[in-house]
Amino acid sequence: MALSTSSNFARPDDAFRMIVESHRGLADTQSGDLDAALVLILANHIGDLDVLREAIALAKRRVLEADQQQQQQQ
Amino acid sequence: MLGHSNFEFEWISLYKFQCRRMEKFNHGRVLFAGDAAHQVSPFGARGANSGLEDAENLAWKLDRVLRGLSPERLLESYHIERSAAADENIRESTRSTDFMAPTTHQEARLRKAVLALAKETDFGKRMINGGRLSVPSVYETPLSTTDADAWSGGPRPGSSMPDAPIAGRGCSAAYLTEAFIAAGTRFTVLAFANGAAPDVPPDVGVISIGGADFADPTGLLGARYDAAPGSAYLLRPDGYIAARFRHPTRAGIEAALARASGLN
Repeated sequence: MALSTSSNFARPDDAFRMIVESHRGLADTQSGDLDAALVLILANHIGDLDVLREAIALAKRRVLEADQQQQQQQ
Repeated sequence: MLGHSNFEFEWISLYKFQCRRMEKFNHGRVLFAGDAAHQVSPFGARGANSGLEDAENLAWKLDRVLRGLSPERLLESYHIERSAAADENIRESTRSTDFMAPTTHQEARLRKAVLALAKETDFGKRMINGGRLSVPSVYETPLSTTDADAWSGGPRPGSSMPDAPIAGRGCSAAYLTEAFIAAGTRFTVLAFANGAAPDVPPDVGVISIGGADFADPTGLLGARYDAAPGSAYLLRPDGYIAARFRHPTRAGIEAALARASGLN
């Protein structure tokens, strides 16, 4: 099974909103704690190391490397 | 952690340990084992266990070489098998150490999440790593004979022999490992009977299940070894599987024995 990156939610805005609102009113450290728990819960739900590895690679590629590129351009 | 805070510290000190191993366990006529060859953190009871496993792995090989039954290169397999086991022990105990003493803020945060989730989830409980108990390593080793037959379970060559209850006819052994020791802790064929006893070379022990010697009263032994009538396993003197056969022949057993003895 490969990581699915096609849009899986019928209403993607609802999903994004639900995550955003779960952080409302939280301090940064609490938000970090919440995210850590969510990552573990969802990783276990997926239950597939290959998918998890692909997800980590995608996140790193898009977030960390994109950050670096932005810094280089500035 | 203790359920209450009504205690005082009597004594606190630092406990230091290292995770590392020698690059080679064999240096000419000097062979290194146990803590001399590898050091791990105390989590998982891997230090003493792996020392005993080193000795178990080395003893029969050294015995064969000293008696002139095997060439000295058999000892090379001691390094191959036990250095891989040391790597596994270091990897496992390092994971436990990192869980107990997180090195970054985010690692600590993830551990906090695991502990919080463990209160009501099974997966969270299983992620708590306070030390994973040592289990025998599976060896990728030149002493193993690759399976030629189809198996849907049972220990593959390079695995430690699983134990199971047996019922001896006129023998007190209640477990397979006891029968293995009673057979002389030497190369032994574990045979699941199918008429005639297997034709084994001299100096090889035989434990026959379902024949004249032992019964499998619970069926666990047959299940753990994926046994069918006629199936046979060649056990090394350290209780590891050297080879297995659906239809053992004398020539097949002799070839596996030679391989496991470092003779080819």
